[in-house]
Amino acid sequence: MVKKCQNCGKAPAKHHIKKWENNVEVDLALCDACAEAKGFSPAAAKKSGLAETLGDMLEGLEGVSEGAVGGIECSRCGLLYSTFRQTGRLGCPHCYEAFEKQLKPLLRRVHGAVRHTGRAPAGDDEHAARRQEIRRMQDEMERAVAREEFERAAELRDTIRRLSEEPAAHPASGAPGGERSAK
Amino acid sequence: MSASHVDELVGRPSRWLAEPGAESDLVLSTRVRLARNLKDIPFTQRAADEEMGVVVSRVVTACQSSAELGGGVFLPMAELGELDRQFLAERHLISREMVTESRPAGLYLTKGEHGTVMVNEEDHLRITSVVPGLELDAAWNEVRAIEEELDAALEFAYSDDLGYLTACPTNVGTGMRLSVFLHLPSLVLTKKIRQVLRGISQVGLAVRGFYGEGSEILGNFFQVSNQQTLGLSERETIDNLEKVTRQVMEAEIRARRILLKEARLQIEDKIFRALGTLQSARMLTATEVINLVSAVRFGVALGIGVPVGLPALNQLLVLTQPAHLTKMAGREMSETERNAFRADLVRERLTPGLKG
Repeated sequence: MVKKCQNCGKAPAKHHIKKWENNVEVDLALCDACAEAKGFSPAAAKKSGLAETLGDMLEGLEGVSEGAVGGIECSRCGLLYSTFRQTGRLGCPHCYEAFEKQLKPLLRRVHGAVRHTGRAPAGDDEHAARRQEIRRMQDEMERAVAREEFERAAELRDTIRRLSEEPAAHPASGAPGGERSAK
Repeated sequence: MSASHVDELVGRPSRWLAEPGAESDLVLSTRVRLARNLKDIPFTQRAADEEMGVVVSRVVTACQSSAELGGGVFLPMAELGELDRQFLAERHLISREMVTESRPAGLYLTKGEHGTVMVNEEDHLRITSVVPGLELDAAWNEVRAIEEELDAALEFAYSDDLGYLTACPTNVGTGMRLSVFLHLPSLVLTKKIRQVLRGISQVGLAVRGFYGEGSEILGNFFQVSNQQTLGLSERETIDNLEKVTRQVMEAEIRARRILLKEARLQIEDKIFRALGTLQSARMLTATEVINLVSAVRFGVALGIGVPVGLPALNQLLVLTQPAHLTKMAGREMSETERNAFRADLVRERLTPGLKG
């Protein structure tokens, strides 16, 4: 016999949910409609954004040209982009370059950013920090142009030019890696 | 040989549960993990077995010459049986995935169990430090010291644009996952928890249960961790998590005051009944222990004269897990036997004067 929904008592229960209430584990058996109303169904979970998997995200991002994109291959490890789509795992460090175009919107969606601003390996600190600072300013300059803030953009352009020509002795302020805990 | 190193851990409590730390009534521990990969070798999932072997030998050599990891041992998974692996997973020293890993992989473990390096998990290296209480800076400094030494000996995959390159794009950048392990009974009891958890996820942090990713929430224990690893510096990530953690702690304390004002007697009754069960029961399941320990822990936090300490309670959370019990008993047990063994252990640990 099919169990009835505990909430409405009519429709067959299709969702079995474990829930914590006042420190006690409660088993709930709900029908589709009641589960959705109470926010337990997969559809509701999706709406909350919590159950979003990488796969779902990827699908939403480049669904149009799926076939063509899926065939791109990493020249170093041979991973197909379509395989990455299935597993959510890249094959080697070079994949980040091979799939750069496809990964960018994904990274933006996942992290809200596409540029690293943290530490760099030792020995690489000075150069890396400055290159990062320059890239950050290039991003800002592009945004300034888009907002038609041309004066600001020109300022940034000059700073970028100066930084690019300077000898490597002074890493940009706020450089990663150099910071020590204050506490 | 590796198995004997695991045996050494059996009677010893994990540092992160046994020692007092800042805010330890609300925060059990702070964990920092850094994901790193070697530059010239495919990520673990796509590497050939011999390439994984190269990763192991390079990383182990680097670990052995590290002062921070001094006196540590490498435990190759291949040398450990399923019980020992389960044991390490219960101690949060290896991931669930490592329990079933059959390819070259392992755990580099320091004497005090503070710094660890998982080798050939999803990434070539997962450098982790766990400290008791809310101590984000302490955990970060510890993990960073290890990472800097390994960085001097190994060449990590890194790009100026994207930072440290990881197998999953969700870790790229800093490769850093920070998490705090919180105990929030008042928020659960006053039904404010949903609202608080929603708030946490809205600011881009993740909330998980007792055993990490995908696990259910048990005993009012929660893990809060960062998700963003790109576009935020390590310092910003630490400060964000600390700020949110403190807000959650304040909400817990507000809820605690309401509970005490409105239902003090009922709460005290619940707590002391839980203590009575732990001290008297002859059979206990693992889930029961977690929930009862949660209640008694709450009593300690409330300062209502519960005659046990937080470290003793915290340790029970790990010691009463199945593989720990089997290792302690030195033999396989039926479920009934195990529940009885667990109850004996709990009684012994929580009843003053009963032990030795």
